[in-house]
Amino acid sequence: MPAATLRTDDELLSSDDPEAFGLFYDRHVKSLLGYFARRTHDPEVAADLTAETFAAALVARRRFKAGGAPAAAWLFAIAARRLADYQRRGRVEQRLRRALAIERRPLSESDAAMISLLGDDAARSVLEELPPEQREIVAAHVIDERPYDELAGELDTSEAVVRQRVSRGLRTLRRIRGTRR
Amino acid sequence: MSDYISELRRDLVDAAAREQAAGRATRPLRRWAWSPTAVAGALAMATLLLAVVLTLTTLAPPPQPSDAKIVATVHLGGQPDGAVLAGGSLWIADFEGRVVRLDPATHRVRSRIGVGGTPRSITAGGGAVWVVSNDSEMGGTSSHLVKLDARSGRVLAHVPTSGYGGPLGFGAGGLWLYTNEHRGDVERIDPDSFERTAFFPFETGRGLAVAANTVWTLRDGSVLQIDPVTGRVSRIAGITSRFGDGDGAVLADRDGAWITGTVDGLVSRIEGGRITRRIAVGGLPGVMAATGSALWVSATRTLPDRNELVRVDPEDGKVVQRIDLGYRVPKALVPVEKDLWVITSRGEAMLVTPA
Repeated sequence: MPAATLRTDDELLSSDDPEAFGLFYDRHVKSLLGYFARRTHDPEVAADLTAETFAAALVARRRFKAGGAPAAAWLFAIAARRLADYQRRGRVEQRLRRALAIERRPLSESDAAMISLLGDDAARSVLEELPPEQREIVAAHVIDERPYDELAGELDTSEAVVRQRVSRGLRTLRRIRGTRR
Repeated sequence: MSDYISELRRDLVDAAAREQAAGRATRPLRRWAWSPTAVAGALAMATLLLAVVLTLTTLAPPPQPSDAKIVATVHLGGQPDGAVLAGGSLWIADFEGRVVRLDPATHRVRSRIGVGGTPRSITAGGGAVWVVSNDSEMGGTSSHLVKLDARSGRVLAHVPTSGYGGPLGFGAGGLWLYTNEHRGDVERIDPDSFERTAFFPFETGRGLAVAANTVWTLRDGSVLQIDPVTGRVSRIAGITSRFGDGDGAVLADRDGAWITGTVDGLVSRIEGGRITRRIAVGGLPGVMAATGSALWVSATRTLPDRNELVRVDPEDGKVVQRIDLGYRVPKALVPVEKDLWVITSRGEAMLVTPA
């Protein structure tokens, strides 16, 4: 594990190194996507809210007081506010992303399926509905957060093949869940 | 890692790098040279600054004995979104499908009443607490109205409304509500039969308050006053160029109303069909309440997000106190005698009382 990942959230937020914010993002992006996905049931909205929340956190990180409330609580307080704004206005603000010149990215089908899965409290049981070869690789990547290259090494195959299998599994999940609604 | 997650990461790290570079560009490139002239200048400036500070300290008024402060915090949980005082209890609409009943005397939660859906608005009147709750968490098109007994908390009625529910107000002949907030449909319904007794299609609208037999709401930079007897709608234009993206709020009383929700961040007072005062509270004003001689307004400052409770003297429009609430977004301010309860987005009820 790189030494940088051993730094605390407080240290990452107070660092001048831009990559430190990237590490902070790595630690919390999936739980934030899940938080929004559970509450909005819309992967696109969850992705937008996540982006705006991290943009707000980036802008406000100098005001974060280390040693006070945990950084995750601070981040989720920002998230809750973004969610409340969205629920009131019916759309996601892009003000802070615009201020930081961050453009809105389109969401691919597999990204949308992945976000839906992150928001599903019963994700493991939903996975049971996948064929075994897809189930294991989707669980390893999406839930256990194992990177493609690590899985490729373990399965003695290429990273591209792993990506394809994960993507196929997520598409299958989306189809299964979509037919129920 | 998914494409979306990795692309967003790259964008954020790039933005952090740009911000860092911009910060560096403004820093001095070399240490300041300690020349005798510069030292003398600095000493002169320091002396002047000290003199100014001493003068201001002497002139500044001493702390007011009536300064209010937060004296208690009750953890409610959930996602509060509005509150009202009725039957001696505080009733807090929780976005998670409940109404929380809090005893303001003992600071204890007496009960949590399931109302279904996602409560959007709450008001009180006619011995009841009224909640409009949307059937879908994300809005949708349907909602229901729940009538609770203000003494027992018992659910007296649970009836569908004709659309997506919005703000509520009680008085002037019944219960007033936005039954289709997206279209701006305002209805008055009979509190016993639930029959519609008046209907106003405003196309757009936000905020609703009833006082002194007048119904107030906001639309497109204007304040609308509805006379419930004649059905006549008076429009007071020019509150601002337009209302902001967020909610507008109306706090009505016997003589007029306070209005927030404007892009210019002002709180406006309407009396006699015209704007009589505009107050800048610093930040974007949100919810309001009046206690005795004070007007309380929540204000949000952005970049970074901070929230304040601002106390205004309504007579002269001066801000007399600010209470920092940090990241807590006030969702409702409820006066209880001289005190004020602040209901926050973090599921807390905070008691603010004069010292």
